[in-house]
Amino acid sequence: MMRHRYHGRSLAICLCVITVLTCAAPMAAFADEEGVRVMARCGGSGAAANQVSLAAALARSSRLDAILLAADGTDLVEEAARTSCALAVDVSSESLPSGEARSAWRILDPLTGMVLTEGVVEGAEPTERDLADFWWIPVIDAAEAALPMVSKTLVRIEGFPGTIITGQAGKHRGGLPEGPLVVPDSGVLEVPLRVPGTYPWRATSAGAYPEHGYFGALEQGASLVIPRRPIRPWSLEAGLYMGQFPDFWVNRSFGDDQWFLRLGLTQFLFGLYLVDEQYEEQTPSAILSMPLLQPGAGLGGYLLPKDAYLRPYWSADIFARLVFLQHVSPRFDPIAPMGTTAALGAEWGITERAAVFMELGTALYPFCDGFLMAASRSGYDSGAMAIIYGSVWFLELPVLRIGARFTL
Amino acid sequence: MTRRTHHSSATSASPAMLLTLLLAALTTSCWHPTFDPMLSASEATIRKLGEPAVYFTAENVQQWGLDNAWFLPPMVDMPTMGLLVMDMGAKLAFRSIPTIDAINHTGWVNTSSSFEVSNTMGDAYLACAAPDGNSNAFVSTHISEAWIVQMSDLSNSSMVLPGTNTQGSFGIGIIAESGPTATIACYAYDALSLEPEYETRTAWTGGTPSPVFSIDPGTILAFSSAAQVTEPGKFLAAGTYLYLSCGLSDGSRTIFRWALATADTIEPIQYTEDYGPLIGALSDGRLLAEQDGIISVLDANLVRLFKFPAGTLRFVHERYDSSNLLMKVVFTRTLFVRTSTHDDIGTLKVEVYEIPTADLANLAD
Repeated sequence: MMRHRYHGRSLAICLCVITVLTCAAPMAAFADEEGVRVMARCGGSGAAANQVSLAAALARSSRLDAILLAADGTDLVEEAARTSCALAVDVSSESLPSGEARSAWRILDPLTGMVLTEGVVEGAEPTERDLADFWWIPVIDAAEAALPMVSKTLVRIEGFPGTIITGQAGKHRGGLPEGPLVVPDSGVLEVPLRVPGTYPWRATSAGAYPEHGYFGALEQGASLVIPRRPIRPWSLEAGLYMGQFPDFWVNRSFGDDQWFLRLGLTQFLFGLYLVDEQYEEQTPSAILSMPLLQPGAGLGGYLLPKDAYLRPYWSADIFARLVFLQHVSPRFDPIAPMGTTAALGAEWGITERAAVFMELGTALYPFCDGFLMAASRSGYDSGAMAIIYGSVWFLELPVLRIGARFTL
Repeated sequence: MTRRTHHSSATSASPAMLLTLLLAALTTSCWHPTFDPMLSASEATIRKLGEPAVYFTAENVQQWGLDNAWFLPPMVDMPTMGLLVMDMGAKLAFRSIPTIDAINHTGWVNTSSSFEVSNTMGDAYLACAAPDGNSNAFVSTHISEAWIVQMSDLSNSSMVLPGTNTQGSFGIGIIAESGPTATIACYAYDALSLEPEYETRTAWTGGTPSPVFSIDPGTILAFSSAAQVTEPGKFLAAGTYLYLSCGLSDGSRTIFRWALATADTIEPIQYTEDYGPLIGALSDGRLLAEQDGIISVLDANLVRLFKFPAGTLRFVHERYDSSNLLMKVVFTRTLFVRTSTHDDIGTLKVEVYEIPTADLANLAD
């Protein structure tokens, strides 16, 4: 048993801390819901019986992630085990006739109910500031020191050989080791983790989509099975070129879904053309049809993995311009037989197999007659699009595509 | 105990993303593809015509009236001036291009003067250069009046054409002869006298046809269907035939053909406009028809010999090349590119192409 003795002190700032924490107390949590959780209870008489002050003090520990307050009438150990707490802290305080105060504390293992360590804090009746400043320091130190003594066991992880397991970016790693874990050829990996605990994880494996989730290791013998979804390399893409003309592409991904090749067709036989009415001019039909097809091929690369919320990518395409003039055999457009586009895009998965995307870029037509290309659009309202051209090239921007991508 | 945790790649719909996609679609919905099928069609044929005989650009030209404008050069080897014909449907406006620098390929559109006339003939109006190469143009846009217009300064003189009665249907056309002359043919149906009549002027070299057309009274045309003609058209005297390409009261279009020797006594043969209205004829008797940007070359029986895509390439006339002693078919293409986002001004580019009449079949597609 450890015994500590203090003289009373008080500072107004303690009131502020306690006020804030008291307001937060009904939420029964003082940190995020992941990592090491501790359940605390403080009873008895006197100022030190204020369990909010105990919870606030414990919450200052960088090694304790969440502090829960045990509800009245419940068994502390049982409740701590039920809520996956790593430790239970039980404090009983009393005011002595001599004007002093005494707080007897115990640190318990919720799974076994065993007392890991215990002690007493004695001193002049603490003020609220004393409670916030130093009264509970021995309890905090004891809780931190007890962490290695609570149940920590080997957790079994099953996965495809070579699967790399890490924490999730931006989230607390809990007890996961700093470096990545690699599933060996046996497909089974045993990792010492503190139980109970909740661990956010992310797994990557060659030829499969990344997986992630939360592992709730609540008891000894818990195991995690890493699912594996093989990459489906083929996908279909239906888009609207400039938001007006439907186009269709077939994509083939490679390099663990980091790169893609695509073949497709942009057509101008049918599309929307919504222009404002002009005085003394006949408003064109809302449906525009032009005898032009643009079969093309392209490649691109994703800048983030598949499980990213928004997946940016780049793409570069090359296409032919085929014209179908009435009464004349089909041919390459004599003004601009081919073109290229370069774009940056973002893909956003709405289901496991479907995603919507938007691409913004520019179209460059090399080996063309730039003046004739400019003349080709001179008589039309083309919205907010800029063109630049030379004698043998023509560039227009921005070029926009929106659409949906369906994995086969 | 095994805990499987679901992956979370499938996320709920984001209103912000959907709104972005919707806005993107709306803001671009007025975009027009950089493609003009008529221009591409013309380019396909120009590849066969080769280098232009003359081309030039003019800067800072007002866009007004240029949507359907075309260039009429004088019938010379190397035009140094010309007429810009701005076809605005019910009205024609003319601008003079008084100078063309064939070395630097620049020209100047004189916007300080303009000549405008009403047009009741649709696409069948006549604007042709003098066959002898002088810089006059003959313009006829309706039944009652025609003009001789000087290309260099738009000075003009009018004449009564074809008669005093302005009621009734009308047709006019010109065909080059094998030399620096042409034949103008004119048809009119007097709605009061109910007599279809025609006249021709051969060996016209330019200036006012002499004597001036005065069809009423003229040569009677055997044409019992004359009253059904409601839309004027080309009236051509090609070879040994007369042709009238016109619209009828039932909305259809047709071509009538008379044998020149018996035109006053024998009714015409009626043909359908399978390849579009007639737009002209050549000195060898072949006819030209155009539909959807395709020019068809027809024989005297209106059977198509071959076709080629013309698009914005315009057949303007056939001329006599006195240097090489042969006839040439002349096409022009007139392009405009707006260069200012604030004002309706831009660059005008004009190209003149020629091909010997005998080689016209080389354009066949």
